[in-house]
Amino acid sequence: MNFLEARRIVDEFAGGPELPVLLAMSGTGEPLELYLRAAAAAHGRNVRVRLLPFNTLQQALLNPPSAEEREVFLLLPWDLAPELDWRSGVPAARLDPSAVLDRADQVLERVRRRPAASVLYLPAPIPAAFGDAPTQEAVAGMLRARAAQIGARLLPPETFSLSSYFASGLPVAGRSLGGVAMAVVELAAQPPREPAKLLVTDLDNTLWRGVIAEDGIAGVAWSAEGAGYRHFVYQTFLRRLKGEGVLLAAVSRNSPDVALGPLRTGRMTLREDDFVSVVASYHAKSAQIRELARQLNLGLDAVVFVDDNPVELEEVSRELPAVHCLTFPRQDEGLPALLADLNQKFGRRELTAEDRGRTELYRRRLEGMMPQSVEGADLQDFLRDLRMRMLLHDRSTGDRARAVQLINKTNQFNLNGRRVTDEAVAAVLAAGGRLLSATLEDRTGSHGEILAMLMTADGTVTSFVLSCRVFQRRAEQAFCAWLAEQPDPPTRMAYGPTERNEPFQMFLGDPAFGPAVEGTVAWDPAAWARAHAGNLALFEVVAPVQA
Amino acid sequence: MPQDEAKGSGRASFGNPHFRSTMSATTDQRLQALFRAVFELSPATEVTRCQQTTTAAWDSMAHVSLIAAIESEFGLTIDAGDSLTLTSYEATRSYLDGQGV
Repeated sequence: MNFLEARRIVDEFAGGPELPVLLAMSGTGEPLELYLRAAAAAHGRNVRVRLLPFNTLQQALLNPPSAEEREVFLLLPWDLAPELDWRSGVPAARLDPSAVLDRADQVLERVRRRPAASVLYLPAPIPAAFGDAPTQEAVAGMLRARAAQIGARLLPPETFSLSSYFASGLPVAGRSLGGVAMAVVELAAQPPREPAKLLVTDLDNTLWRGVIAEDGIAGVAWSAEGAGYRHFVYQTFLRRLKGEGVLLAAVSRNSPDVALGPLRTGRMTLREDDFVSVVASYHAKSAQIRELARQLNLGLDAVVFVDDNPVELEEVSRELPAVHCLTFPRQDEGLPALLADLNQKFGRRELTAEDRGRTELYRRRLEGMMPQSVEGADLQDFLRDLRMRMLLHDRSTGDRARAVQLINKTNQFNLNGRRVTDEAVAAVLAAGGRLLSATLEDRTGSHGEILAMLMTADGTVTSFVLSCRVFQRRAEQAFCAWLAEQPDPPTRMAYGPTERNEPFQMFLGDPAFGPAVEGTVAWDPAAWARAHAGNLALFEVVAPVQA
Repeated sequence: MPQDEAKGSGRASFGNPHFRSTMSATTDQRLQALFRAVFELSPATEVTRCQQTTTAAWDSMAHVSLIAAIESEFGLTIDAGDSLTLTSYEATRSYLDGQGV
């Protein structure tokens, strides 16, 4: 935001609720006022800015805060240690790093104790006051780290202008005034935030590596080795949070006994009784989380949700915008950032005996929990933005290994749970049947071959599976909509309920299916095509190619 | 009028009859709008004749705001020494021209 743009925003602003702010900085702050007004106008607020007289920050820290204004501190290294001020020149004698850091700690403690203060720290260069470059760099780094430790948001170093600071005492470069103003207003406009109280975690590919319903207990990983390592570290972090009084819960699209299996082995860091509730169902996760919060008598803004699946995260964040949604990383390198975020959300807690016993107390409250409404968020726009592409394959000839493997390893979205041998499939195909599969791609990449359907010559579907990795994307509805428009679509499916195929049972709830009893279920392709044209339109469908 | 101090440009300064500014009309308009806004000049005021010595609102704090506004608007970093020479519209225009704005 440059000067004339800020001026225009302010001139065109029609007014809004007042936002009284004390911008506590030791330097000249007046040129920031226009930009603060523009930044606040962008938030629909009318900022009333109070600045401190030049070089009076230390005195202001000794005065109690006003209840009527939000305090935002803009600190530089010499606010923590005045002897580092460029405007005073380089000290005659080398400085003692310990003494400098002690003074910084005292200043930061005074800032930290102000209950509603937010802090920006500008890590400007410091004068050569320590006699050697390594000490210089170490002190600058430690000042920055100490500021971060009290929750300061760090500004980019290039925000500082020595020319401007020399000329007028304004430490902010002209080109950075807009950015600093935006940061000040963002902090001032945030309501004071309590630490979160409830962490809701997904299970598959979050608490452990793998999909429990597909891979079984032997196939998922959670140990301090190999593929399970980052899940192990995540569990140890959750264990620490629980010990500090944070409530843990899990939500998973699974049947309960399957979801709880790993937690009951006794071989994971976390166990079932570390959680106030493990909610396993095929209902929307937003509904599950809403009910959890209600039963625990917690505001949704006290809840943090962690999941690896962007579709689940989007559903929860749309339906429950107050819940903080964080992505469990797909790569190890992303783990530090997640843990840093969680650390920041849950804050530092003083431990009490009540904290230690909180989980057990709440577990008893939640027995028998069931969501009152199972509807989730409308994800149409989000799914459209994914730019999904379905590549269809006719595996009736050529390489069918992946399609057969998919039929044999998929449990949840599975028509009947029957396993097939390659010879049995070959026999169906030789008799005029068809084997179709689909690969899913979107703007994030390829998800591989995710769907397979085997049909006999008389138009009965005998196998139909979808990988649980792509649940919620309506790929199964879209595939069937495409199939419905082909010559001679199937009209029957050989359904069989299993312990694990509840997602398929829910799929059969569509009006285009006849009653879902074991045996042959009728399917109306024309009705399906009419009802699911919108789902088909979410995909760019590429016609079957020979394998 | 002092010689322009642009490095290597070989350009004569503003006020020299042979001076040809490279500043675009849009930049000129932006600079005039900036001066008008910083000093709250009336629409009737001839901005191009504005000087620190004759503009009532041009005090030291307004000068700080002017320098910050120029840096912000044109993406420049103005050295402390140079900032003290920008005491009129003409001097500012000349400076910007020397900066290739």
